[in-house]
Amino acid sequence: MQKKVLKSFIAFALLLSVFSCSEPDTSTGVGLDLVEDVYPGALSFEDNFHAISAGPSMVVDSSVLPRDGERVLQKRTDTLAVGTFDTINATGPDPDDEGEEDTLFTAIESVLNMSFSLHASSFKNFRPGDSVSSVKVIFDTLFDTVRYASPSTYLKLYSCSDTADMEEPFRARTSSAKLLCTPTEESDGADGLYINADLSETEAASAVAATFTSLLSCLEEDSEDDGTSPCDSIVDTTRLHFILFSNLSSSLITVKSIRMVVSYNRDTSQYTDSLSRTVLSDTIDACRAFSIRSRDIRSTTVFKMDMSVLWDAMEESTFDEILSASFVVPGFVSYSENDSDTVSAIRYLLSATQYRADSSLDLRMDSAASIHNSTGELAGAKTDSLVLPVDFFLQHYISRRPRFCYLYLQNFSKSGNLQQTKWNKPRFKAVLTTFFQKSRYE
Amino acid sequence: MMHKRTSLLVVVVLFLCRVVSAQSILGLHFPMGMPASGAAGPSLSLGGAGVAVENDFLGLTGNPANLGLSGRTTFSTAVSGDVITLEDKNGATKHYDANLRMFSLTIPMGRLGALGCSFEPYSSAASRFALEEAIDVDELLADTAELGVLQSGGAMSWQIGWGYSVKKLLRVGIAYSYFNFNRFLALSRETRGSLNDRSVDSTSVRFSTSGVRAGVQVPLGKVTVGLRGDYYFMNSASTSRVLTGTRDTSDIMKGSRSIDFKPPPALFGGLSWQINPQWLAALDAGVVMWDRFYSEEASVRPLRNAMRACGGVQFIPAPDLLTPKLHEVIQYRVGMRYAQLPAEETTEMAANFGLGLPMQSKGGLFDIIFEYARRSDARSDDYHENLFSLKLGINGGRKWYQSSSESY
Repeated sequence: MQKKVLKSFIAFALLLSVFSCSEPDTSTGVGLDLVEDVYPGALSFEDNFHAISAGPSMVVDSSVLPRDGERVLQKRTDTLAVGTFDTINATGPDPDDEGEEDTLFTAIESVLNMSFSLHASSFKNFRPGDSVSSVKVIFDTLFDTVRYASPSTYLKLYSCSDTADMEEPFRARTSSAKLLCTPTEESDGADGLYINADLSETEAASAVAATFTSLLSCLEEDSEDDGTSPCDSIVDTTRLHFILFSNLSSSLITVKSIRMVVSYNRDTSQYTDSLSRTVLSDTIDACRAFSIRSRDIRSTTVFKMDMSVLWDAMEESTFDEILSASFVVPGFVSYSENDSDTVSAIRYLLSATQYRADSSLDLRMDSAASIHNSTGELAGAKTDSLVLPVDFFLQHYISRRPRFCYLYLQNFSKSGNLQQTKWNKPRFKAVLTTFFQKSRYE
Repeated sequence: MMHKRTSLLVVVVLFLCRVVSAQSILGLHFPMGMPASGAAGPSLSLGGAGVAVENDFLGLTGNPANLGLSGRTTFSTAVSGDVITLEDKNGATKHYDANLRMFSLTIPMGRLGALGCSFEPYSSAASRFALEEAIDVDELLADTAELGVLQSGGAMSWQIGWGYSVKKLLRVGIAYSYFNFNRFLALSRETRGSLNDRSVDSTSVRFSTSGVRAGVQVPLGKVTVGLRGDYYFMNSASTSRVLTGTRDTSDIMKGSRSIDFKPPPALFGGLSWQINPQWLAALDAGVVMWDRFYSEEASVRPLRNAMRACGGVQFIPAPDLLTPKLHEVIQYRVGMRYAQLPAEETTEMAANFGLGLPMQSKGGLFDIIFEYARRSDARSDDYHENLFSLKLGINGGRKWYQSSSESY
């Protein structure tokens, strides 16, 4: 009997000890009035949380850094490094930021390659002796003009070439591109609006004219020869390559009916020839995919953020502590070279320091935070958004409160390589709090 | 050998148990949390009455004068499993906990009386309150904000004392008491979902002091009268406050200071009546003098001297049979307790029922006690705490020598 009692007691006590060593009691929400009596204000959500958020408009600039070890940034203040795409390095002055040393980058959000092959059939109206009066690249766009300004606002046209046979500027630099112009929006009065990239004032126009002249001369000589055409080689290799950049991150600009229009003056008359774009990826789908894939490239992406929304909120309220802060990158898409290599490691850094290759600023990506992502969908997200907590970065600046901070983003594959990534403009959100509760001992 | 192993196992198991009670929101209003009872099993089932009860298993827990009664080595311990229901107009939540109620040991010293030691919980400061609400930070993301008030800790005391019987006319006892109080309070703010951060404003207090527990029991025929007093000395309590946020991993602010702190004295009187061998009645009444409690800590609400009255009866069907059956010697007990809690307008009512199962070969007793307690606050009519508790106690004793004054 005694042993049974002892065993029962020990069993019960053991059971209790398991209880007591398990998870602590769950909390209760009962008795709110009693708790508020003791800690008035501690249970007021209004008094303890202040949520702030900002949309893409807080992104004042975006850019990319070249791949480590491959290229250095341009140091000339009149030359912008606008990024890399495959083997092309695009450079050129940015008319918006002329002379501003602090602005070394411009945005690349989408890239569209366009090429024009020169054929004899292209020059129906051109005659030797004609003077080229204008060279324009014209295209129509499908674009949400309700939400956004004219697409011309976001576009820039570059010339480039991967051959050494072209006249300047298409031969400007092997694997390079040069800013030609910023397209404008025009109306033809009949078909509505179109985008006109007028190259007339650029050296591209004279290059085009020279090309036309030499080609036509060749063709005229060829017409006297019934044999093989000596111009074939020229025709086959004569392509004008352009890259159209869009720096609009939040929407695609779909481009169609791309043509080059060359006007000539002959006597008092003007003649025009129109060249169609050589088909490389000419369907809308291909264009769309190409644009997305090209959105920021295998490199470090930088968003320059205006943090006024945060500091102003802290200044204008009693909430002086950052409880949480994150950048949300909506529609995050990572393009892996290998389908099985789908795991991404996002390395990011928020710093008040702008990276410059010609200075020794204290920017250390090795102090960056990392998050791992396999699906693009993180906890709490209703869509494929990437949530990058940055409160621990911002805490360093809570005294300084710099207006601009730079968000550096890198997307690594499982094998450790930078991946092509679509980075839409981040949105910012934060929750502020305050330690106002006085201790009962004070 | 078997007995030693069992005893060792009992001790190990008891140490595994926590010495706290299930949480109480009402306890946030009291300086040291919700008062707890550290009575031994035979007293627990009499509503907690034990100041005048002559029972050597009680050791010095009810009254150190009780040590003077002891002619054998005894020990007593109890564990409990609690289910507490917190309810108000908005609903109710249930919480579970398990804890060690007490431990007592008595060693007789022959003509020099008896020595005893005990360990008793004094209060529990466990409270876990939290509210959560959806927070609209971004339309694409779902986040929740949570505010929490989390408190843990409590007070407990260790006693070592001596009791002596003066020619069976009077029993006196006195004990040194080491009193210890710890409390950790955290006010937390937390976001969950896409944002996962937490900041905590925590305050902790650590305090210990010495005290004296003294008592007297006067047997008057079938009636015994008892008196017991507890007094603790003022001492310094160290308090610290830490603000922890997301700023790196370090604390945002740290601060500490000392404050004067003094637990309240208490005085209890008791009466027990051995009506006949079958029936015993016991009654205690007393007061914890919270008006003499001192702390530099701001009081949540006015404190008052907390009166307490408890009593119960015990029935043994056939206590004098030489070869009784088990059910004939089971000790059936019922008890009730009414206690004012430290803050004005707060009270506790409790009823309990217990069985004491004799372990005849060793002179021990196994207690099974059921208790229901209801705590209320008149300032908040719709708030109540209902506590269901199952307590198991084990009491053992062995006489190591035969007194020359006794013969058969």
